[in-house]
Amino acid sequence: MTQTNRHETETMMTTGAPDNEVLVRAQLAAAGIPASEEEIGLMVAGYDRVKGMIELLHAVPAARYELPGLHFDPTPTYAEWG
Amino acid sequence: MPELPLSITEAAAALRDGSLTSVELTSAVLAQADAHDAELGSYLARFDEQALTTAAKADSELAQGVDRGPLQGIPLGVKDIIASAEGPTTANSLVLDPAWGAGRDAPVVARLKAAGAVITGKMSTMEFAIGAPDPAKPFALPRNPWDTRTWPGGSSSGTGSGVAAGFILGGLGTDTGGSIRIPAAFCGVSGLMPTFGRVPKSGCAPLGYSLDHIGPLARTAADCAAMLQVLAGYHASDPDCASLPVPDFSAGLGRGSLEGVRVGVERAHHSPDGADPAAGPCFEAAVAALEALGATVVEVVLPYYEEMQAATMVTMAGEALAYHLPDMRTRWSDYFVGTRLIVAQGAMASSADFVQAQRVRRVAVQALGELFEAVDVVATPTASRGATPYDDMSGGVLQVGEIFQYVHTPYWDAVGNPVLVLPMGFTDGGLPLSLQLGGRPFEEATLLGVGDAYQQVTGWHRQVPAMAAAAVAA
Repeated sequence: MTQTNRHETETMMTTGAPDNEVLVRAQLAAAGIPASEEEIGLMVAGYDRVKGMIELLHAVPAARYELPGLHFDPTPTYAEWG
Repeated sequence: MPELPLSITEAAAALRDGSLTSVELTSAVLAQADAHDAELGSYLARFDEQALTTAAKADSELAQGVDRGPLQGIPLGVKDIIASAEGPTTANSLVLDPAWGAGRDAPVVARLKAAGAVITGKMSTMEFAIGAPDPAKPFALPRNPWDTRTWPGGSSSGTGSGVAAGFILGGLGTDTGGSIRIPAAFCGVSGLMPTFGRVPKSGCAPLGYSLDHIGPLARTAADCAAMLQVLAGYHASDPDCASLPVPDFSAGLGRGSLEGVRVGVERAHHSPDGADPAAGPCFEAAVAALEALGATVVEVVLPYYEEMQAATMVTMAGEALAYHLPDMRTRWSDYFVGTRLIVAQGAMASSADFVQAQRVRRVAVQALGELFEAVDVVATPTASRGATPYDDMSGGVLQVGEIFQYVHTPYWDAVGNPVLVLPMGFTDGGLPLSLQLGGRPFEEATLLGVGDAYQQVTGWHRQVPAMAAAAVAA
């Protein structure tokens, strides 16, 4: 039971999307990750699931004007541990 | 060897009534590990000499009337992604620089030591608290004391199996997608993921900076309360740590009634195809027990359920890759295969995707806050199956995407609320099943009170695997 528009998500994923293998290889290369051919194959096989998760997040209407759950504190409060 | 008390609470009482010393207790749990750890792989390192010295000190102090509280003289383990001065932290990995944290105690470890706890050693973990066992790497394959053909859960594997097997009476785990709750569930013990920010996480190798929680695994909810009392509280070294007063987490224990408590039962996302046939009936029996204690039970649906599972995965992969990228570029094959495949997913999401996940987390936090105006606790199964058999793992590798079809933990990491898990029965094959209770932020005491009341009328938490049965006073 998701609160996003599944049809919209599926449409985004199927219109003009580049080949998954091309995308996975390009993103790994851009990051400098030396995955093996077998590992690239596994990542390609799982790529639709990863993209599906990401598109699910972009399809939440209530987030349109929401702030991110990140906060930055300019006060220099760094303290050591241990 | 004396019979071992089952829980921290019982052991603390025995240490004070003179029926047991900490040296006897510590010696007995170390002997239990001597007998069975070769089968389980719970420990990565043991600190026998230091532990027995600390135990002797606890005995001496208690004899002199110096009482540091219920953890004094109690043998506890520390997940090996958390620094402890006795030895290097490995994170169950070939990659982590042994100089990291060397000779230092993470704030949580320092707090346990100040409370007189006996740290017996470092407990096994999935590599860097993520992924799955990799038989190709030179680390013991962690095994479940209920059935050594199965995985004990992860990533706090050794703490879960160690408590269940009687090697320790409690210990530290961490939870980023379920890593306290999954091993607690699979090993038949209790576990608490505190509210994000309740416990300082500095001195712990990070997995997901905005998702990581340190918390206890132990036999009972009352034991988790005793440990949280020591672990909780502000520490300046963790910018996420909340500067809030630490309440009395034992305040709700022993109430014996749940009159006035509203329990929301979530079934909508927790009945997957392939669930164990016993999972549903055990969960309904647990809900009935809460109702019989006086709780008002209503049906609820957790808002943005799938979105929060996605947010946990996208956020965890991105934050983990930021930490690991330099080593992944140069030491890729030194990582476990499961770690490689999951962390590399961080390269598949853009920075905009990452920020979007954080925006949706705020939306879900708000919606969940509205749900918690109507209920005090949300109850679900922790998992819909028992521990995963190693034979079901392809080439010995756990398929993490598959496990989260029937393990119901990642939602709560993204929203940051506290969650308590408790044993609630067994599969027909004799593997533990677990109840999951989510609560409002910083209201761990409510969860612990409900959990304690449940454990006063059920006996699942007192069940131990055969290898522990001969040693404990169950």
